[in-house]
Amino acid sequence: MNSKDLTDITKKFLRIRFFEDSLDYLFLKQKIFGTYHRCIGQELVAISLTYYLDKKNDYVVSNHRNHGHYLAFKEKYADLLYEIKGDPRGSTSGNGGSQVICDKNFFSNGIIGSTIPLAAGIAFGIKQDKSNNCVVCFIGDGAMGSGLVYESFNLSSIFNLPIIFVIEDNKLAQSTHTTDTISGNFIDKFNAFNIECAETNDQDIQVLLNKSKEIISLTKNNQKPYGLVVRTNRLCAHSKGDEYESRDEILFGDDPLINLKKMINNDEEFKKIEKDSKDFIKSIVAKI
Amino acid sequence: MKKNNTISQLLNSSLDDYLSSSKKNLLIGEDINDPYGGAFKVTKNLSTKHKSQVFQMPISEQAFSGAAIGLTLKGYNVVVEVMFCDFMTLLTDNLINLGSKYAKLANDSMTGKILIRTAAGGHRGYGPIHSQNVEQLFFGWPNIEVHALNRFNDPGLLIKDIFNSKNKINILIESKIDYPQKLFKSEELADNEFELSKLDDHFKGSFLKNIKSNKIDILFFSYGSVVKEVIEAANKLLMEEELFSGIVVPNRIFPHNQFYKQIIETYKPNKIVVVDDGYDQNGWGAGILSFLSNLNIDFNLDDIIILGSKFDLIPANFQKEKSHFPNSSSIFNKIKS
Repeated sequence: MNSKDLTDITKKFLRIRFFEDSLDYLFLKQKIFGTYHRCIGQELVAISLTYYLDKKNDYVVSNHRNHGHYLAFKEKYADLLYEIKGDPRGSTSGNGGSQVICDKNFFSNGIIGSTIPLAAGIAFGIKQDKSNNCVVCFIGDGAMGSGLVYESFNLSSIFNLPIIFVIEDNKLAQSTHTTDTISGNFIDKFNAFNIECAETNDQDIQVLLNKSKEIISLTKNNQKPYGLVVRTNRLCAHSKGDEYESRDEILFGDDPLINLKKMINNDEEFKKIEKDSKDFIKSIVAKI
Repeated sequence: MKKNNTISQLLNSSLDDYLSSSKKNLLIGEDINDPYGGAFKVTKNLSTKHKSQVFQMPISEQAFSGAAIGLTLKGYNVVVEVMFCDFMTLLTDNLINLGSKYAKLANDSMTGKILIRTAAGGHRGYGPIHSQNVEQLFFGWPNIEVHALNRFNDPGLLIKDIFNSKNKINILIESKIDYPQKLFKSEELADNEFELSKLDDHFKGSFLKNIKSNKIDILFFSYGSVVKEVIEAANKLLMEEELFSGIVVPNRIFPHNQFYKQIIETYKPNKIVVVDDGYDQNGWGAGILSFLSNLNIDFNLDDIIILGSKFDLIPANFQKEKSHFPNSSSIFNKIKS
């Protein structure tokens, strides 16, 4: 990773982090209502897996915890904030809210598992079009309890669909440890459907980026599905309604921001990126 | 359209036309490839003729119906064959939580449309889980339209109209006992003292009334295989009770149609009778009653009778199954009483 990439990634990371941080403030100020699922701690998974995508022609399919995916891929901060508010200027005209974002080549929905076949269908369309694109489909570890996920793995494998299934393994399904509810390991589950799968985490940033780049390239070139399991930590409550949730994993989980800071290795430069990012989000927040 | 063709042959040729008209038109479903050609042979020869557009799916109704929605986001039209209507329960999440929502929220991206075709109804001795009409699960959701084939209209025209309409998520209920039947001929209807008129266009449906009189004492609303029984009951009412009937057979069964009001106000029937193969409680008839009550029609809603199948499981015993669904005698007797 060159220094430009590092700066770019750190900037994206901090913008997403400050965006997510701002939501609780806006909620308290009664500028936004309802609920939302923040991605604090998981930002780097979203950034890495979208960093090497063709922003115009590739697709990202997400789930209820979609803010980081959307912001990393589309970089439309104001649009997302308007959407969360239910404002017609939002990315889905204010009709979908936080969980249901539909914006050209980005789609999400709040029913866990429901977006996996949707993503497979988009990949089917890419295959039919004979275009050299792919779909990145983010799946939470909790969704691995849904039978629909396995139907979709099978479908994608049988038809060799250009789709990357990214499992963001934060070890928690809302408040439940996934080790209590999901048996077996995720890599075996992919292998059972003849889908090659790799495993990494979001602490070793360079490895995660390299793996993302490699898997996107493989998927596009080979026009077949791949799996990637990324170990990560959710450093916030499941949703707005669970704001006081405090657990060891949430309070003491590793934050990839610390490693990003180490990689920059220049306090002054980091502070500058931090200030710029904060100012940027402040200017977005001031709009609503 | 070849007039001597059966409904399944007409469907087959309309799907052939659909696939020929654009490479962006796809057909997916279970066991649809040759040589099998679908459980009811509706897709016979299509996988051979349109190899790059017909895809046989694993037994994964949830996944392939969800994938069909994904395909619409890439501009593909998708006809999805669901082998039996009973299996439609597996599509509820995709259609209600994804299709119904995305038809509005992803409107700009969803440039394709979906038509889910499924074989419904009993009279084949298939028992409680291959004979049901579960379409009522899909009544009442924004952006989901439910249509029903009948023997008055060429299925090809209906399918064309569905794809030409604005609505993106569509379901087509096909009565399985109608597959080997042919379209009604006007002579057959005339034998029952009926003449057929189309309601403006074939998209809306068909209207039968007495060949010699404009009087309508009883106005039926019906769809599916039971329409044949309604025609016979209406004939009996004329012969034995001197009661004139009209029969409305809509092509689109949900959302309910505004033209019902015009027919009721034009003919001023004494009674309205709604008959379908589903359960009479909380089904299509109950929906029509609620719909009419909001139309501000000069009609006493107490004079509406809703008839459906017995509120019990569909018997596996073929003889018992016959009395499960409404038939001409049960319809006649109910009206007479």
